[in-house]
Amino acid sequence: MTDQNFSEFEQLILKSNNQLGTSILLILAWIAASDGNVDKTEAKQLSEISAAAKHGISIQQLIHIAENHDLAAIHLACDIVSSHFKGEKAHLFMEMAIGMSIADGLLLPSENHILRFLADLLGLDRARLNETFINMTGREIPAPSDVSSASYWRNREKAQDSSSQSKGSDSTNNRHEQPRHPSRAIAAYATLGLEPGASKEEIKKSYRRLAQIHHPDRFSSLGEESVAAASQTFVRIREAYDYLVKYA
Amino acid sequence: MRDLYRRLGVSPKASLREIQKAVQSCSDARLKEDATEVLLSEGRRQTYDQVHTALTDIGALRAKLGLTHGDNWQGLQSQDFEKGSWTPTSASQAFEKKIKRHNAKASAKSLLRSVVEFVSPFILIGLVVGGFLYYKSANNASPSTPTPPSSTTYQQPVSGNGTSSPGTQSANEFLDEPAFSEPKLPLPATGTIDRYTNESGEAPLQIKTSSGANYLVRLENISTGRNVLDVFVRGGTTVDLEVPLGTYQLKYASGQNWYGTEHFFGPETAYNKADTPFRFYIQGQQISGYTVTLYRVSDGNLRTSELPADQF
Repeated sequence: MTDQNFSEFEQLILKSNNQLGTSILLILAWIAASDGNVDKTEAKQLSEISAAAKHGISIQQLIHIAENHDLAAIHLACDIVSSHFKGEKAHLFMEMAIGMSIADGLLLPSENHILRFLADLLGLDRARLNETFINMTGREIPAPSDVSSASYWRNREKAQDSSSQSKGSDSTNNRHEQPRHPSRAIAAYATLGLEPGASKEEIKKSYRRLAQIHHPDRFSSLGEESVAAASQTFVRIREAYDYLVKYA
Repeated sequence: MRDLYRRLGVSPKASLREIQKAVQSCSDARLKEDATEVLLSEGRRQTYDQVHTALTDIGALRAKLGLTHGDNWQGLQSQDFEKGSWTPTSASQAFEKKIKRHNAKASAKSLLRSVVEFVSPFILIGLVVGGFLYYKSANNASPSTPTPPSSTTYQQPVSGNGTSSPGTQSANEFLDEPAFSEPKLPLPATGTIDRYTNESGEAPLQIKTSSGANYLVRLENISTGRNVLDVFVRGGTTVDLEVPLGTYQLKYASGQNWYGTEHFFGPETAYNKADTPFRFYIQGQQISGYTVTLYRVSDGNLRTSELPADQF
């Protein structure tokens, strides 16, 4: 079954029961791995989507390919995904990709750049990418931080004197170093596209709008991996809402 | 963002010392400052490297895919990561060519081939020319209204080893499809049947499917080309029906989700036909019928071929 002539990813595609699903998952794994490591939330999200795709391919293998920056593999996956999603369906894949990139509640510059690349791949211009991002998160897609400039880091440190960390994030909170609780609330607000301290009314309004957009039923015609991706976003939105209703 | 390594003339894997040296000899004040602040601080360099790696990958991919002028790429000061615009190449076309070459070499390694060939999957059919013992009632009533069979017996299908799942629709993923937005409908029950003829059913036909895909099986009168019946068979189920005597062409559409009798299983529908006709006839005391097993097997005793949608 294996063949010297086929690359690792090509062999997986040949074995796959769902070639589109396998390709989608490689791209999602690339997003997840772009910050240097696939964390628990990301791994969980990937394996759930993988199970739903019923492709019979181990997600670990795909993560491994993504971590090795196998560009030929990503290129092939991009071709397969774009031939399927280009046009009217483009925003649906974009939503999956955005969902993956904010799985941990923040959008890193590397993820931001990949989203912009995927938007161009699917023919979404800047305005439509932004529109899709607003639909998902309630806020505009930020410009990727320029981490190559000294002033970025100086401003960052000034801003963080009070809160005390440093990691190149395009969002308001930070990934590893923060204590669980305050970040949980901030992440919950961010999930609903709100600034910390938004009113109950705003929370409710935002929840209703997002829940409607991400209702898994909307994705049923696209196959189960899309439904699974949407369900996860949907669950995350509901959890954020439940959390804020209880504690905010 | 800028590629500080490239501007400094060092490798992204350069050691701290090498970078220090390059920074010292750097004559551009701004670059010197940025490199000092970013690359000579371990934590910042780590973050910078992540973005640097992502942009290096993206720059290469954009060049390969012909996306160097994308709307979402302009104005990000990321020109440092642009790879000269090579002629874009299609990875999927290259892949398909490779597969064709491979198939030409290694002839018919059943399963691999069946998944690989996007065009004509070896989907299967084990067919049993069954033992269709139907004892006609002794006093033959009027020939114009044949009595339906009172008992029929089948042999078990011989093909049996259809263990692999069909997964047929993935084969089409490479094809460009027009956007499809019809609502999904509930799956009809196995045995949901549309008959297009007044002739009563007489000969037994049993259809078995493996799970993984659902099927709409169609019989067409081979001489008139007219549709005789459509029967829906969910994956992993068996249906028994009676069909009028005659010789038929068997076709089937398969897929996961049901979009009604116009769109069948949507854009993912796989259409196939059996390569040999099915003949249902009476001989002496017996009526001949068939058991058709819709599995993907490499050694099924009936071949099928893919059918364009408009010929279904």
